[in-house]
Amino acid sequence: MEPLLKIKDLHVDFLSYAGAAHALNGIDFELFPGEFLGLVGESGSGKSLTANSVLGLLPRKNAVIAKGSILFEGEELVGKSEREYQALRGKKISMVFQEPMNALNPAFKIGSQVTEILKLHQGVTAKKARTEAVRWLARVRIPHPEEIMNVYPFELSGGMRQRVLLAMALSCGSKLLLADEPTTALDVSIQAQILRLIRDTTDSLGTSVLLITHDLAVVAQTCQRVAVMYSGNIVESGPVSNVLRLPRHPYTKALLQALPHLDGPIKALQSIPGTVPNLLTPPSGCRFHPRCSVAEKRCQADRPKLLSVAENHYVACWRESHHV
Amino acid sequence: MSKPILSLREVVKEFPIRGARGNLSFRAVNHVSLDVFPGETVGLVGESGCGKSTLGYMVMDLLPITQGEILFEGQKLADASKVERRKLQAKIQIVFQDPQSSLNPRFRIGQIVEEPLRLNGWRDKRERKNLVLQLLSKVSLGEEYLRRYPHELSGGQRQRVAIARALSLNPQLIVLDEPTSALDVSVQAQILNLLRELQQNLNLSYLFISHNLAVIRHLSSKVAVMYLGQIVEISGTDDLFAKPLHPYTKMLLSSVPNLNDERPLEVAVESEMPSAMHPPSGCSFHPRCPQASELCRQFNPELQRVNDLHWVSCHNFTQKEEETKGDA
Repeated sequence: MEPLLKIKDLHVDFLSYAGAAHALNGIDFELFPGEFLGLVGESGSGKSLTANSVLGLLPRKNAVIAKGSILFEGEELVGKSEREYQALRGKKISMVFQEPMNALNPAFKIGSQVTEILKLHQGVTAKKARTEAVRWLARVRIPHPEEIMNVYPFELSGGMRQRVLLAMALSCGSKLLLADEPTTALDVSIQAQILRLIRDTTDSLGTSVLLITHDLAVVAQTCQRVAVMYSGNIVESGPVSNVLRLPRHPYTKALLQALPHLDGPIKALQSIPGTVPNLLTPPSGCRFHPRCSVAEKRCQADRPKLLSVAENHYVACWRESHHV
Repeated sequence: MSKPILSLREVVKEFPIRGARGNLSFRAVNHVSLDVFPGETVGLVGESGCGKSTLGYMVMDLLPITQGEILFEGQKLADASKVERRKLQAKIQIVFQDPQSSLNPRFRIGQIVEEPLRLNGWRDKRERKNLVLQLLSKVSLGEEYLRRYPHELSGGQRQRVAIARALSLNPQLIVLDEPTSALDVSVQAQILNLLRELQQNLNLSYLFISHNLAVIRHLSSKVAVMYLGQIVEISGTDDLFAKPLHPYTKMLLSSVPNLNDERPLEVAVESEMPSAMHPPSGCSFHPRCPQASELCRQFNPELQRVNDLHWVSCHNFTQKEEETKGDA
């Protein structure tokens, strides 16, 4: 099967007065049609940046794609003009953000915001757009969709706003949904509703989802495959059950041991010593080596590549894959 | 059994709301009673708007209570004279969620930790400095941090400073209001381990407020679940997670993603929390409850005893049922 999205050796640099920060340091991954892929990592690891690069949302002033390619349906996205991106955004690739209040315009009613995207991309009449919009609001299980068309975003709860954004994101038949921490601002009971909704609606539409989150438990219960990021690199990727049950990269292992659990015995948590590296002066070799408990000499010298350790399971660590 | 260090008796908090449609009031905390014993951690869990932080602020005496009483070591805070109150307050400290905003950006770390000492009668400068160094070393920060500003520290380090400041007056109780919610998991683990270690070494009591059930379970010996201003269930931690009795607790536990579970998340209830401005009649959970009956719509249930540590407020719970279940 051809991947829907194929990112190859992507490097993104931020230019600052202190030099270039290598925020994405050569990442590779593929996303297949209908797949639900989780992208996890701590703050500053580059997960949102990856999604923003796909959609061409990098700040033009100081961010550059230094190297690499982003293929969507076999078409190169790197180097596309703003006009070309506009035809793509919301139509073939759409995005749901963390803060639904910031993603909606507070001065316009829900109806006008949902119909706007339909009118723009589908070229339908205002009347047709309105019936379509109501249908989509109903599809994301908003009660009384006709009434909701006439309210302003501030009148809705966070969960309802996120539903509206999901309706907008899917209404033009997007092939790829980039969901950037869509439930981080929500309560757990609402989080469960929204995650379930994203899964159900994208399943029935055949949309691929890239779910960006810092919560490994969310990944465990929603995604099929997961990629773990650390400081601008993907350090491990594979099927959720493999990566979370039998992690191979020291960072993934450490992250899992740092999490308090809902069941099982209560043990002291293993924290990861040190802090996330400064991207202006990243460590040489493997960027995790200064915090890694099993680092060797070559970890300092050379950067390990993402290599296969089992079927579909890839790890970038000298100790794991390279001696095979 | 020892005496509780903190007792809440039928505490109510109402916020007045003046509007065009007359003066209303909004009841954020509704008849809450709770005991915290020396050396224990009581977890307070619930979704946003359930009143858990308001309760913490009232314990801290940052908000006046509308009804009921709060006793600290058997003494009523509201009745104490100004001088006594100050002394009592020194024994209760708080750590807030976001250390970025709870630390003064224009103070150096040394000044931040020194401030409570200076305000509470430590006159000797050198003594204060020594104490500050001791406090910083308790949270594993070295002398080199003394002259730094909060913005020069990472989130986890800033939270350590906030903890050092809370420890400065030798408190007996610390209110922890979502202390790790703004932190990454690897740093969260550091802070949780630190809090646990400090509790053991200094015999501290914690009132631990969080929406994160896994974190609550990790640190607490007793957990109170709040919904719309009321405690709906309170129990020893193991019991609560193994055998939740209130439908809201069950819903909450089934909604939390679990790392050890790969089944798709269950959606127990499709509806959202009603507005606390217009709370439902009877049991406040009845509009979302799968087992709600006419009784639930009309009358608010009281907390019933399950065992000495476990109490639940639900009409559908009967002790008998519980016993037969236990036998089976």
